[in-house]
Amino acid sequence: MTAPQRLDAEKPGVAVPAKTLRTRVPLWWAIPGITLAFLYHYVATVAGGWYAFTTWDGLSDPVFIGLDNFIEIFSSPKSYGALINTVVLAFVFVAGVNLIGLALAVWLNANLKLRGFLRALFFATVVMNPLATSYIWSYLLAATGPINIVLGALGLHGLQKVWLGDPSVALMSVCLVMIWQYSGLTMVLYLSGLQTIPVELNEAAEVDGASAWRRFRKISLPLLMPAATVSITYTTITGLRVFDQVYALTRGGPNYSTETLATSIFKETFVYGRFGYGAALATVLTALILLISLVQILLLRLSDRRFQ
Amino acid sequence: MVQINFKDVAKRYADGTDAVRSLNIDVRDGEFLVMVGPSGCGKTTALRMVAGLESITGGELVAGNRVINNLAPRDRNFAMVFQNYALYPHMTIFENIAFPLECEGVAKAEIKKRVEHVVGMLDLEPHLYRKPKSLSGGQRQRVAMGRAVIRRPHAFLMDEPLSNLDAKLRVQMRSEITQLQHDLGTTTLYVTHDQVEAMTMGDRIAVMNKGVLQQVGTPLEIYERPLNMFVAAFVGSPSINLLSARLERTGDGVICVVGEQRFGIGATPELEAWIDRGIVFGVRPEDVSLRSDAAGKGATLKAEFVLSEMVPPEQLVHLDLGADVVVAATEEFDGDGTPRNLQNGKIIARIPSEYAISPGTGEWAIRKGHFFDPANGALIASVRFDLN
Repeated sequence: MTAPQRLDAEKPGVAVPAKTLRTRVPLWWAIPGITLAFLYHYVATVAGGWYAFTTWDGLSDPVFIGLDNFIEIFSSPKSYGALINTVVLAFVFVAGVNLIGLALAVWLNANLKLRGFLRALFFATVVMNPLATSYIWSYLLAATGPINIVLGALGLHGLQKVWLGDPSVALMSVCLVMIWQYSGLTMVLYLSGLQTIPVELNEAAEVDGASAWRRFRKISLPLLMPAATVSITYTTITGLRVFDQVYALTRGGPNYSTETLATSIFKETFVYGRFGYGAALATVLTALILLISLVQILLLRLSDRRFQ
Repeated sequence: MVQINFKDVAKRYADGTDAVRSLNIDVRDGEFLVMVGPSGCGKTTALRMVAGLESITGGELVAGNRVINNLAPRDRNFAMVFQNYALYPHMTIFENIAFPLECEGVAKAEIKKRVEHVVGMLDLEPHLYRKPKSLSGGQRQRVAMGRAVIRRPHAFLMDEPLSNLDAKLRVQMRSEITQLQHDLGTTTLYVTHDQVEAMTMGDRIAVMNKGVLQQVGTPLEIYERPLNMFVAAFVGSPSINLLSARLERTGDGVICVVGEQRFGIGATPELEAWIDRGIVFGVRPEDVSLRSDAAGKGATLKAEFVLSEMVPPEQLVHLDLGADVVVAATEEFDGDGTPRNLQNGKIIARIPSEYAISPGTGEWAIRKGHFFDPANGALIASVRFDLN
């Protein structure tokens, strides 16, 4: 196949251009990988999409039921609530994690003595296991946990809450843990963006009479748009499909107040054995991620282009 | 417009490196002063200290009778043009030029009026709403100038603004910047490593080396009467020929001995103390001419013709004075500012290109020479030789 061609090509007069050989060989080599990825990812996704239109317990044959699963998602308060929770959680998470990551990046881009250590410290949360850290946080946020103890010791009794047991604050508590976990990542993304901005631009603006805030708003921020595009898109996808932290902290409770599409998919599929309904929820989640990410990328690219 | 005074200004970094040592320069109101020197001589650091981008670790920097050592850059009202222009890539040319006025809070109508005036002056109207990346190097340079000019600053600070341009454009922009500065009469501090730029643009030139100011003077003063070997060698292209020499008394006069060759230099009081001592004799290439071209006696050196480089209307003639003559390598100076010695006897003469040089050894006349102290490089005397 390829080896004889190479030998022939080395003989004068045999018309197998080296360029064709170079491009053809890697393609052949990639076929097993491409096939596996195709079967594992796309065929499974499409098959999952088909199960969304069936009722199936995982044992008997699936029965086609049309759009019934989707109608149930949007009419059942539990699933619709999970959809709303997912969007709210993702929105607050994206806003929080990007603002905090950006603030950390700006701070740690300055000439600080402990810069390297602080960067490593803030990034350390990213490499920690989300399940393990969530269990630590569930201890910290418990009704009699250290956070409430500290608040009490500071005389802030009004701020003491049952952080993970009170439906009014549970979702935001989960959000807080997620922001803590991922702000190191967004910090690194924004930091890399900040480091691509030539120092002279800020110096020129400084000499031109710009205050620190104006320099950040008018020079750094617009030039950070490429980094922001990556960071916002990535954190949106993370926020929409979060499972580990929610499941470890609240399991979707109390009273479904922290139930998200990802936890619903898990419960409906593997706890209640409703594989068809779970597939429909997964389809809605995938569509949601695709839709929001696409809109976001388009908007960010538009503003990015305006700034370039 | 403002006068800027460096009073023993120094910059020492945390690691102990002295970038600028005890700098004393008075930049006059409305003057175009060029700071020139090789890489790492401290000229850019000095400029950045004036801009407020670099802290001052010693001395006082005074602008208009006010010490500005600790004043924030935005409060100094200086405009700076950077080596790479530092144009804001996400802003249009209009927005770039208007930025300093926006920072001052000038009304939009006034900004528009002033930007239009500046772009008219700099011939940038067709590009007003384009981004910097779509402009050529020369146009970007003009935008940077526009951004500096628009706020009517006390002074312009320019950090090698022409170094990114090609040779032809550099010549054009050189005259444009000089003309603009003359028209506006704004005090200008200009940093360059290019001696031609320094000589052609500056009202005065400050030559720096290793953080130390070597000499301040008009271009002609610097060229005609360099205060030390470094200045003599840095200014002028090709560089000055520096030869190890010895002075001897003969009868009623003084003679200079270069290798085995001798020539009279007349009575010069400054050189009396150097008789029977080693000295460095410097002669610029254009002060070496064909003997037949310089009638009469005067200073003469015998040299063998090596080769000629034609650069019409001139030619650079490479001559060999003999292997026993020690010639200083002017491109490489030791830490104390004295040149490293080479025992090769090679010198360069610059003469009109129409002269044909015959091969072999000939006599070459010296019109003018500078004598330097070999220990510290200081100028002892500049002597014009009598050619008649």
